[in-house]
Amino acid sequence: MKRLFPWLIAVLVVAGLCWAFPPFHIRSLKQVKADIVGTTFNPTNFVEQFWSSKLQPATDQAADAAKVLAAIAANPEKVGEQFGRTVGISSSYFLFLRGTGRVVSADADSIGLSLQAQGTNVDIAVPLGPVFGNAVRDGTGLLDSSSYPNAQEFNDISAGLNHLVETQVLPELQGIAAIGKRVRFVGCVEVADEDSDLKPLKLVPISVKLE
Amino acid sequence: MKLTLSQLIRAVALAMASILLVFSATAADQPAAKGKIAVVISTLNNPWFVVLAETAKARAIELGYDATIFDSQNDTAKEASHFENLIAGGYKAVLFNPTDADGSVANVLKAKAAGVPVFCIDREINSTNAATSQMLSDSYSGCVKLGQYFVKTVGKEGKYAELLGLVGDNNTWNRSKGFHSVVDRYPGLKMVAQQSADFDRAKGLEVLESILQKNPDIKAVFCGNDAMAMGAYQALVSAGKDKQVKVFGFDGADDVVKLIAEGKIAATGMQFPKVMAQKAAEYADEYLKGKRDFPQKIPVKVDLVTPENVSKYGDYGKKN
Repeated sequence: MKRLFPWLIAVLVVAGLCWAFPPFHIRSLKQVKADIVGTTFNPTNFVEQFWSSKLQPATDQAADAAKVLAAIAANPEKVGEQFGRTVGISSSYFLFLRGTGRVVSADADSIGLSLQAQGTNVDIAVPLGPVFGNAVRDGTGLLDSSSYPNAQEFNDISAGLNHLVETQVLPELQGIAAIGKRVRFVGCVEVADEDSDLKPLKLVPISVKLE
Repeated sequence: MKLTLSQLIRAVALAMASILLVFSATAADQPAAKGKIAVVISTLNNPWFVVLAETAKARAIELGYDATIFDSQNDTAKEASHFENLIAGGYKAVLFNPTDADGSVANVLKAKAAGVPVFCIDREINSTNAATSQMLSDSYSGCVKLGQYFVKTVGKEGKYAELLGLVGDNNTWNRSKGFHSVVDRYPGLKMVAQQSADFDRAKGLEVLESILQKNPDIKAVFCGNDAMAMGAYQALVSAGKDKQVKVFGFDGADDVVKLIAEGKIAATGMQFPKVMAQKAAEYADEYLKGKRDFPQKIPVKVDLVTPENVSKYGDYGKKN
């Protein structure tokens, strides 16, 4: 028993030290994720404010869609250089467009607009499903990733903007887009592949109105 | 004293060899004219990071610098020690692949205070006033594309698992969030397990083996990098489930690209380690020549690699 006593003391001391100064902590993945995202940035508030005070007033800066379509017809390889915006190192570019088109097709997946007076071809398609990607965030040049210390904040902005497009703009478009109607639009396009993304342009709208 | 012709030739050859030896020894002892650049990499226990490190080193040497690679072994303490050594060692710039988005900030600030510019490659630090510039793969957008392809190939219903990378690294969550921003829109797709395998191949194998024991009916596994995807694929082969479960990775590692071509892995996101590493070395050179206005963050686009377009990719990039 006497021999065991010092060992018992040592074990108790070690146990006490471990209790007072735990060598490691077990935390849930959810907790770690929350800590990384941080608490100071509120993407929902930011996106709502940005949408109304910065994005909507900037629609005048968008390029004339008719001119972009003329450039595509003339030389598709020059469109990015003339009208596009590239973010970082990428072969893709974004277009920020405004114009008026006539509804020539409408189904559950997409609304098709023609910019020609009597045209039947879809020049601009507006997909109606979930909105993914960064066309709205990166298409206008109003937001710069360098201003955000954590890329997750910047990505949350993209998700928030896409959510507003889905919940506000697309339902409005579906409400007014009857065949033959003329619709004024402003929106962004991502061109990742010039062979497939220019004809038609796939627009993520930020504003639509019946003319 | 008379010398024969052969003796004369031998004497001249000996003299020339001695001169060459002296010159080469002097050249080896002297750093290159432009100084030394450090390449500090989170881990070299992954071929993708080896490519990143070797490319950065090679480009720095091409630009006239001496370059040394430091392996942090995914340990912030080792990384801190590398920074102390390289600052004391007179390195002029650091091409840096951080171990931890928060934990690595102090090291970068220490270098900055010592007048040594730091250029982050691939992985982000959570600060916009520490590094001179950060060249970062757009992991989130890449995984949005992977998520869309996942839904297209796996379908809108079924069970799947996710292997996360290092939980302290922003890329882990950027990739996971990009993927979930798509997949979570389909309530029929149920994630039955989400566990970290630290971006490590052996851990990827172990973790998926344990997941398969509890969830033998998963249809797919999404892995936050290709090393874990390779480990997961090995686990599936061992369990005889490699035909049943689709594996999705991220990085564009050569072994995964080959397995995509063979129809064994479903898809990956091609990052461009060579492009990032070369650009970072070029930025360091420009900085040392006097340029100061660098963008803080430069996103680098990630391409989706699938069996349909895999022939266009290889050697850690896009084929010309």
